[in-house]
Amino acid sequence: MKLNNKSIFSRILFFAIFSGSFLNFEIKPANADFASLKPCKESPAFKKRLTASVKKLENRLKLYTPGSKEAEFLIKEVEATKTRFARYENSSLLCGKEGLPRIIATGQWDHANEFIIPGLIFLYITGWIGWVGRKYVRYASTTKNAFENEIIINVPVALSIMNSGFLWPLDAWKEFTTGDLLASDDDITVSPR
Amino acid sequence: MNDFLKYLSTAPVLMTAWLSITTTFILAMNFIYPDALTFPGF
Repeated sequence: MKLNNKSIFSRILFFAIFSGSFLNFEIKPANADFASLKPCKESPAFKKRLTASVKKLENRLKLYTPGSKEAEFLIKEVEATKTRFARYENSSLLCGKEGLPRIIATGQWDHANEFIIPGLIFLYITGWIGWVGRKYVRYASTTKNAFENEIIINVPVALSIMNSGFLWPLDAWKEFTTGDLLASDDDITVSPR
Repeated sequence: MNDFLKYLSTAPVLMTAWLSITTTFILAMNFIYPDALTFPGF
């Protein structure tokens, strides 16, 4: 099947609309769509877990002389446990029946900080890495000694390419519209069939 | 000196240095802000 720019564009558009239709803009209570989940703040099992974890640490604390290195560490651990539970309690996290917080990955905006935002940051960073890598390889191919430039990195050039990559989605789009992003079909080798 | 710089620029050496920076960064982030289950600030 031959893919030209137009058909690729329509595919991207289709996926954008398709995935966009899963986004839910309605404002509802945090657990409206998840009958079996409730906010961690209201979950008795979640509170039970807090007391159980603190108790476990305090029981261990009894084994050590007060003021010793181990006791200091355990006191810090108790504090960290309390802060952790307080943070989960004050967020929009939903807990299951067993009292453990769940990440909602359905694309709802009221849970965007659990999956959508970290996911977008992930895509942005991996895209950056890929984009500047591609740019460097393309730069290396223009030099006299292309193969060596891929093994012995030209650090100043690589650094300037890395720093220039933060607008990669725009750059990629620009290259896509000018036809520089994709190789033409004639440049792709196909094994005889 | 030039040869040494060239050695430092080889891919395996750069890779080791760069991954050390990355791991240090991730360790530091998890030390400063532990147990991040959700993206903070919301």
